[in-house]
Amino acid sequence: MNIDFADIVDGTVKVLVAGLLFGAGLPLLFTLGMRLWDAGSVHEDADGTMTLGKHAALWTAYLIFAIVAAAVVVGVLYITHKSIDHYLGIELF
Amino acid sequence: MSAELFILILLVITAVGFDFTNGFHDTGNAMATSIATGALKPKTAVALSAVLNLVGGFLSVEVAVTVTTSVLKIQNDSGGLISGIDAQEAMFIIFAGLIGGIIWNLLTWLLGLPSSSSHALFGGLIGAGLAAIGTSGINWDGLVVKVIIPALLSPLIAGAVAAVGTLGVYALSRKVSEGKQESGFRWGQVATASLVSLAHGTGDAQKTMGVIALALIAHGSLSDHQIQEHGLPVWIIVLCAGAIALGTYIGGWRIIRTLGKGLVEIEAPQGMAAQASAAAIILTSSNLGMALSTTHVATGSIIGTGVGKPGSTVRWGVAGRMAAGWLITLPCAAIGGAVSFYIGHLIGGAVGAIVIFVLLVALAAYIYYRAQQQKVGADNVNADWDDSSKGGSDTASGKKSKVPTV
Repeated sequence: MNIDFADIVDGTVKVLVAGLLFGAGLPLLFTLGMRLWDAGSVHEDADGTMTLGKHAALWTAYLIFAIVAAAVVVGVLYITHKSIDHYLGIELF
Repeated sequence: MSAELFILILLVITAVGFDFTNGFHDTGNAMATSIATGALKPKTAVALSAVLNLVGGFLSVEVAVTVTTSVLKIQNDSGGLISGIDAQEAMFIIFAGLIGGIIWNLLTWLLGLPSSSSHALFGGLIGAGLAAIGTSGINWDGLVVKVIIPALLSPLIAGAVAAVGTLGVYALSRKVSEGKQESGFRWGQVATASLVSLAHGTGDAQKTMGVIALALIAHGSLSDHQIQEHGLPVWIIVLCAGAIALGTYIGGWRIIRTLGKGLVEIEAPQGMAAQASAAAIILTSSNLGMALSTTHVATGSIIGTGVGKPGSTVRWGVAGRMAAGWLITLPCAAIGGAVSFYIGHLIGGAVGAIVIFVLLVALAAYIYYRAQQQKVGADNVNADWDDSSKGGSDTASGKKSKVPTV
């Protein structure tokens, strides 16, 4: 047997870190965006009073959604980068 | 028609069949959470996943021609056959390996067990390789490093990531109004599930394309040189992408049910956290030196999301049976592969190929018949999970509950 255990540990740590960064970090960022979006929107209270949302929160929310959407687009490009290189000759990664 | 060409044709049909089972076996990996939380209607979810698998399959340009090298020693680095194996023997190894994989995929589907299709294929090939060549034909290091260790680690990694994500998402979203939560988490789930589907199409359809390419190389009608020059023949790509998409569209409802309802009662935030964890790990792992199975990652994520949500319970009994299923996937598929090889090789030639093909079709028909006795479909996939009918055998033999549980 010729198994490099250090290599396996190394790979595991890398996958875990990348997973936490993108797999947990992005949904957290997205949820933060939802919270700001909520804070920035017009609210109606139980008695029917309308409260205006905070402008800054709304715009920050849009920015966050744009970042998350960009991450998803990068994900799609990453899945397809070999095909893009093959058909269009553009090396993305 | 020569015997060898005849064997090749049956082999290609079987490979496409495997690809089809691969499709419906893995629909749940991407879509079970979205279906369980109601983010997507069952039929819409499988249709979306099928389209993305089809697109993913067609995007495959760098085909896994060396698909068998991680477990078998019958191919060289560029995909050609090593010397010392004749064409018919090589074709029987691949043929029998596929049969072992298909039978295990169907059995686990009947039991509603999400098990890795790649493991089933590898197991079948290992069994056939052992039967044909003996222990020297197996790449033991590759088996441990590329198949067994990742399988043990992936649910832990995916589970941890999903648990952290779930915990955070719940903490952050508590004060968000219900309407915003609903639309936000729906978008989150659909996007992450779509990424998993697309990645699945590109990754898994390639494996079957690689197997078919290997069979053509063994037969002598294609060379590894030709593949490097011109890529795969288009008909292989069309067949494989189509088969995996069709399989996905048929929907492995039994497995979707186990993943979406059996392990954890999933809510929308959990669905998004689980699928985001799965997507991130599936996309990054192969590039970071550890290719993980979609099934293991998706299942680990769903369990993790049950661990991460305060007050949520994981049905560890179901998870345990699933883990047991994973452990026996390689040996069981190997037995299927070895037996198929012995039968086929003993009879030999075209007749041998016909016999094992007919056996496969008969077994598949029987398993399908058993599944119809206790049908799970788009209509009852989300029915309440009945804990009283535990035990893997219940699904197969018992008629205790209307909807099978694992």
